[in-house]
Amino acid sequence: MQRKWVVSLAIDGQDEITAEGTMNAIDQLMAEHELIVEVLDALDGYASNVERGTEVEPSDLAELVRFLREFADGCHHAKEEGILFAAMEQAGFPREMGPLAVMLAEHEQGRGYIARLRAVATVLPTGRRRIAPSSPLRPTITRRCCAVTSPRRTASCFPWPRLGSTVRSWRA
Amino acid sequence: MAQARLDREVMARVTADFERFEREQTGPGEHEKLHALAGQLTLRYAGRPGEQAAAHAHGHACCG
Repeated sequence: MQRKWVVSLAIDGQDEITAEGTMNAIDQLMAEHELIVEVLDALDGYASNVERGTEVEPSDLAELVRFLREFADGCHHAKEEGILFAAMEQAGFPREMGPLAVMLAEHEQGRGYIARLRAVATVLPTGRRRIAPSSPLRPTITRRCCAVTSPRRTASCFPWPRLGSTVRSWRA
Repeated sequence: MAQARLDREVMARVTADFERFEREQTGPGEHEKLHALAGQLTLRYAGRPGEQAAAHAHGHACCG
């Protein structure tokens, strides 16, 4: 199954124009990355509700965690680490410094944060509720983890598009 | 100064390995279900439908 991108445009009532192409590995990572950032925005919204004392649905925290574990880590990070980073290492990118080292460290940091969130999600009682300011669970939910918010930063800094372009170089 | 490159052939192999990974590691439809879940969560808590999540319905996004 080759992934494809499809774009359709209709401007000022004119006939719709459709273009399509095959996504390469970098296109896929970028699209997945954007999706993950959108879900991190949702996690941020959930945390803001907790901070404001708004009732929240505990099962939604479990679903946010499930997405981050199964899609972000189990699929996206697994492909990066197991396939792309391995290819980059073979091509001469060092694992101990530079972008690979930074990304691997961020992945580990994110896994730790998600594990803590998961632990909270499993002990929250069911049913919509406010999470009291005194609850020991609250800091874990509301603490923003830099590793989890970092995709927004790396999306603008890490040269994924250039990796797949004619430049394809990294200097240190 | 270190310099490294990923040639077109390497990128093609990486893309193929991505496809194989998803075939072998992800159950049928699982990727799409997670994508739909992302759409629900984004709508509920980010106050807007995510562009990537919404794009899926039109076949634009990563599960295309």
